[in-house]
Amino acid sequence: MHQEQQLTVRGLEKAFGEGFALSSIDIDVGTDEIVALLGPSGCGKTTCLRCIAGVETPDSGEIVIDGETAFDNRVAKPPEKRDVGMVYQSYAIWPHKTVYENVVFPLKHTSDIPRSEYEQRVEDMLELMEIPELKDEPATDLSGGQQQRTALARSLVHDPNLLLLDEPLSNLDKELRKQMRYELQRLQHELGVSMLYVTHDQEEAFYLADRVVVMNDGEVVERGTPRELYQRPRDPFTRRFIGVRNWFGGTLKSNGRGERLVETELIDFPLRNADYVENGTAEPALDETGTDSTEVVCFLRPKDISIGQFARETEGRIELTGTVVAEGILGDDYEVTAAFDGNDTELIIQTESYRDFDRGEEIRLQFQPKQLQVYDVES
Amino acid sequence: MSTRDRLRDAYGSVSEATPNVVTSRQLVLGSIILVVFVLTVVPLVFLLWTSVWSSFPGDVQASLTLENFRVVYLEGFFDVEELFFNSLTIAIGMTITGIVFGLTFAWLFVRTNIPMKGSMELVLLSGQAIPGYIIGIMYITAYRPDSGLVPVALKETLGFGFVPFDIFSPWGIAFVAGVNVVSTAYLLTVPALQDMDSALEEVSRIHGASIPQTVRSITFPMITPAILSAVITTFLYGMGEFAIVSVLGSRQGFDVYSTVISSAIKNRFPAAYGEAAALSCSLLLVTAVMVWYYRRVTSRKADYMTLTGKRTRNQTWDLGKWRWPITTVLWVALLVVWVIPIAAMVLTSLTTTWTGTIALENVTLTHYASAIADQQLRDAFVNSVIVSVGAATLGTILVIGLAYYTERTRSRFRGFVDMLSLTPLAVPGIIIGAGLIFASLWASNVPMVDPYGTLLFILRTGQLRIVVGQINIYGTLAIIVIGSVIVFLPVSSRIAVGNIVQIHSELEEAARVAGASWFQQIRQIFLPLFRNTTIVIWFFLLVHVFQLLSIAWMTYTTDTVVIPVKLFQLYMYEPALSLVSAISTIFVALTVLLVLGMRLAGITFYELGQR
Repeated sequence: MHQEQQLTVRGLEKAFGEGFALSSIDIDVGTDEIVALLGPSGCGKTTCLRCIAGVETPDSGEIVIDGETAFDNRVAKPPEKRDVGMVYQSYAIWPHKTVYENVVFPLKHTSDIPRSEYEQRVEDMLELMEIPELKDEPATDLSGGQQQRTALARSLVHDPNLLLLDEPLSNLDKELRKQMRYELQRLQHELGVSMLYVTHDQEEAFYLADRVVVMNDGEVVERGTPRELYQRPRDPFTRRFIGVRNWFGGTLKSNGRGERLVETELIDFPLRNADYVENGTAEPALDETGTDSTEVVCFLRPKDISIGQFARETEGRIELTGTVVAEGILGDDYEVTAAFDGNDTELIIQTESYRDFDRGEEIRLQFQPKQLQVYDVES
Repeated sequence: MSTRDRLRDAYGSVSEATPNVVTSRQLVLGSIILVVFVLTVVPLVFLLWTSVWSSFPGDVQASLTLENFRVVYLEGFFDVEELFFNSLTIAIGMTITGIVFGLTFAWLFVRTNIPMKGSMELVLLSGQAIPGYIIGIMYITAYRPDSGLVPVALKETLGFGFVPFDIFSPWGIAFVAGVNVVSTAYLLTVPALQDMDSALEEVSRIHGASIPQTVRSITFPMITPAILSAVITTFLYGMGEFAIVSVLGSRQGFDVYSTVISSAIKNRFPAAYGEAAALSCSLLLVTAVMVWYYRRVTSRKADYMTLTGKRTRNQTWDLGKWRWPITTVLWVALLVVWVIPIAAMVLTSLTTTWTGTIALENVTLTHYASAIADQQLRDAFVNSVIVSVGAATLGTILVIGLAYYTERTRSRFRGFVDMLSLTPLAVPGIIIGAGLIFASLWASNVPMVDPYGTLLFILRTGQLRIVVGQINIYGTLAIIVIGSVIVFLPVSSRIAVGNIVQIHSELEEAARVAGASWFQQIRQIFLPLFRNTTIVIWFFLLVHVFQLLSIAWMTYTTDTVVIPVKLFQLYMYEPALSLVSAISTIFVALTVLLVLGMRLAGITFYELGQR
């Protein structure tokens, strides 16, 4: 049944000293699929990758690469027998070798390709990476982007079953990052290789990956397609991590008339109007007496808030008046941070059209209650 | 050239806004650099002078000549060819032994999960506490074919006394000398292995290379600069090796450069000064080329370091089922090379006469009693303490000033001074000793500026006048102190430079900006921050000067015998192996206690490079 799977990881455990541990990680990567491991730094995603590559030994679990067991409680294949390619965050280009010597290395050690074909293979690969002119350069003279391409060429030249990438773009500047993001996708289509991609950047993960696995504190929090995770993540951590910067706590109460109300510092609104996401648990029981209450957390995307008030059609919308505390241009957007009298919650608003607010100025905001996503707080 | 001009020259472009006033900073640094210059250059100058002088050093009624060179190289005064090949044999054998052991241990300890690292490292580094002549004596008690512990034990249990290596053959001597530099080679390669980004090895294994293939094509090429510097350092030591060759080789008539130069000056009558000096020149030519190459290699290091990227928690390789077999092999090696020889020496010291076995009725403590009761030994001990404390203090002041000068000023002579501090690496201790003898003979025969007398005069009268007189440092402890400082200048200055760069110069600049004078800044900011390094350098010099034989052997007289000289005399001229063993045991025990005490106080030499 695993014929379609390039990588299967089951129940991976790894403890480090007192604090940090990976606990029962499951990961699947299908043929020709890109899977991103997304999480904040220190969440264990790189450790997972290193366990799969074989340079770290898990405490327990099972790792199957291309139908062959690489690790379980009886087997522990050394890295050189796993037939994978890997790109490090630091690229790990050998400084004492030329670009050609770096790239030809896996051919010499993994494949039965005859020596006479090495040169052609390497040249083809450098061509594909668009750096054929660097072939005989010493690796010490390369720029960051060139090192990156050399590292990719080296990790793919021997046609591995699986390519592991550890934050490969994080050391590049912004423009180069965009370009490489595109190139990685192009490569994946041209070479048809399966990739497991570790990153802390949700944009990168959502752009590149077919599926995303979100990790936090050594555990898988949530998994799904980028679309699912973007639109309606199940877990408040994912919600927060993938860049919804407006979030505030509240209490879910019954108003005594069979309706449930969310009370927050900022606004009160009926739950039925908002987007209530169940955390896999049953919906909180309706308590007619109104004495019972549940802690919830509400999220609102900066782009879902609009500035100004409409003369008409305010029906159902939530309106707020606040004070501008910070404003400026951010990328392609104009961003305003607004504070509200009498509470600590601040809202960030992003619009595509430029506005000219001053700090301290009054600002009017509105949004559809459907844009508010409400989660139960896990106890 | 006046002293001030010379100071300014040495000081170069650092002079500040007031060019005609010598600032306190210029005075302090200038004097230190001047002393370094004198110490490194003067012995060599007098050596060269003696080699082309037609009479003994200090005899003004003579002229320049090439006669000495003709006699040595054309007429066979010494068998130069044989000496050269013997020295080369020792150097090569010593380098191979030191590097193979040192590098193997370094790689296994730093890059793998081999068990019992800590205890094995302790045994390995204990080598630093044992000087070469004692290692020679240890090996005699353990492996001499007729009366060594191992051959005799083998004969009694197995019926044959075969030992695969003969410690009295040239390669045997080279091996024993190599054992003596294993810890040096280890310490020179460990930092490079620790600093290497382990991702570079990992990525090699992920892309198909096994551990041995990775070590061959990634790890060792990556640390080539460190390996080369270890190779060159041990090779240079080998070309000048004196103590072990004398102990093991002299009775077979096996000679190298150092032993011949030493006996030409000390044992011949009249002493063959000019010939010895002329012979030294050809050795210096070889070593100078190597030091030049060493400097090129170590400065190129930067190329290799640029790409190592961020240093993460370094992963060690799992040796898997090989862990315990490899550990066993290492322990056997340590046992054969270190533990058995030490044990044999201790056993020897406890017997009346050493025959390779120990019988209860022969056990005695008389050697220890006589060692402690011997008045000459007590005097030698006092001399040794004076010499090592003096040299440690002088050396520490010099290398701190030197490091400050090369790292903290923008003088155009920095490169030159840095090179000066390395030159003693090219000059074997015996030749430095010879140069000092020549210099002191000149100084005691010809009126010269007497810096010590001048200083005394200025201090007593308050008047500035230069005192001219004859300086007699020959036969004083001072000449041993000076020679010892020179011998350890390269190593101790490397320690100082390596640590000074760890202190941000902003800290000192901030003090200046806040209104402190240069002196106040030095006293309140720099020296307190540099205190730990200062202590370490001082103890490093203390321990090593205490053990140093070559300088003391060349320059001692009956009043200035130090412990290494006394031990060496006892072994060479009196058949007192048990007594020598007893003294050596006390000696080693004292050193080990001192080093352990320092460890407890948090002072270790070998981690310095990375701090």
